[in-house]
Amino acid sequence: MVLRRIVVAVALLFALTPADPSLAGSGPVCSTEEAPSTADPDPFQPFNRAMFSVNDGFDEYLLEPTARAWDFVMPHLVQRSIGNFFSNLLFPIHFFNNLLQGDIDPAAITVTRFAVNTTVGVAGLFDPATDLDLPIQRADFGQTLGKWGTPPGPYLVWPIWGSSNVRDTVGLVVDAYFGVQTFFIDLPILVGSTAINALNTRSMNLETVQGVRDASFDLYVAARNAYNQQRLEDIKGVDAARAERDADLYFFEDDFEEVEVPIEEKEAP
Amino acid sequence: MNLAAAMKLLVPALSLAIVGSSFGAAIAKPPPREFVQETADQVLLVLKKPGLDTDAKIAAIEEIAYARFDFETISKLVLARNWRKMSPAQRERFVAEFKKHLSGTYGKNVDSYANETIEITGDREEPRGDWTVQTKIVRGSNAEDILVDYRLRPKGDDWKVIDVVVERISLVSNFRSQLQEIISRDGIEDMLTMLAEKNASGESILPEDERGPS
Repeated sequence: MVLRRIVVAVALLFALTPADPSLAGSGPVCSTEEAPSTADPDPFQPFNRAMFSVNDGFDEYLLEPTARAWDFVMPHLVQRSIGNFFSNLLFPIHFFNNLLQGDIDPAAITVTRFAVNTTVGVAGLFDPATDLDLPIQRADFGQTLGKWGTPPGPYLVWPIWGSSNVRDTVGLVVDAYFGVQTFFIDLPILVGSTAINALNTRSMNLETVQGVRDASFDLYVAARNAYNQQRLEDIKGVDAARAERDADLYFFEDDFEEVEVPIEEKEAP
Repeated sequence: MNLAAAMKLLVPALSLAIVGSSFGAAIAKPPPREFVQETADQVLLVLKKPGLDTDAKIAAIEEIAYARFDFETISKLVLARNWRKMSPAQRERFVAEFKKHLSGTYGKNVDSYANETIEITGDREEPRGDWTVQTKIVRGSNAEDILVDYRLRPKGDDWKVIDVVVERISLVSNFRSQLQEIISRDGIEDMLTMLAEKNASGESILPEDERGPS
């Protein structure tokens, strides 16, 4: 039922999205002379910021304090094992998406990992597969859609889940379906285990999150930019993502009309 | 949580990552990997030094960072098109405050050092003389490794760091988008004031602004 509601919400969002191509991607296609150099289209910013501050408050008053207590009580090894356990359960999501993306070898690694970690790794509590040179092959349906050519659509922030965009929201719903169907999980168990997973993950990132809070001028924009950077690489691969981004990032002076910038590569023929 | 995942490990990485030392001027540029290795060694030496108190460690690492990072270029890249709209005085203020901000926030992490090591995993040539060196912060069996890339640019007869990419997040890009947003909302002067206030307050006061969505 929850899933159904999300699907309806997503369909609505699609319908509401203006057919303006400049909203469709973060690529250089939409850069015009006046566009900011790091264009992160964000037409739903008011909604997103509201959600973001809800999440932020939730984190500040509930999640983080609980995670600190959790971190205090739990040995590192246990925290890691809980993380491994939930990571192992992502097997169907990784596997189906490896296949859908046409990545046969990663799909094979994903299956082998699951077999090894579920048996030798005691129901996934340990990760011997990584030591056997079978590293995790992350893949998700938002990424699959992206590789098939679906543009990300506007950036979105969801309660609890956090950063996403229209495409990745669809991906999230589909992945949730893969995951739940495979293991026939009851809803209460699903909710409970998701909460434990979130709490445990948060407890392993206490310093990191605090550091990011301290370092940021506008945490919302920092999170949005980080999400967009990582997703661009997830979908286009490292090389293409860099090709798309690096010239503007590191040589933007080319756009300057200022005389003070020397043009060095002007060797006469 | 997803936010945590996205912003993954930015800061512990950086506190270790701020690299460098004031070696005597080399005769020729060292190979890029060597530059990073050398500086990583220097930082680890400070972090591991017994009997050095927190402030002394922060100061030592700051000095290393000042020698190895090109804060003026970083400021330019981070401000991008806004740089040209600023007066020389504004630019100077920005460089000074941004430098302080970076070393201040990342310096605080010296005490959380827990025997991490830095491993160089690769390097590649970039257009127009830049170079990228890829590293990994190895945190032992209790935590996942952190990937940190350094973007180097030749300056004089040495290299300078002009960007740090932590877990695929470029800090130049990240700060650029934040500053862009603040400048287009509040203007350059307010941005400079905000930066100075944040530095002066030392601790993390997030702008708990009731600004709301414009």
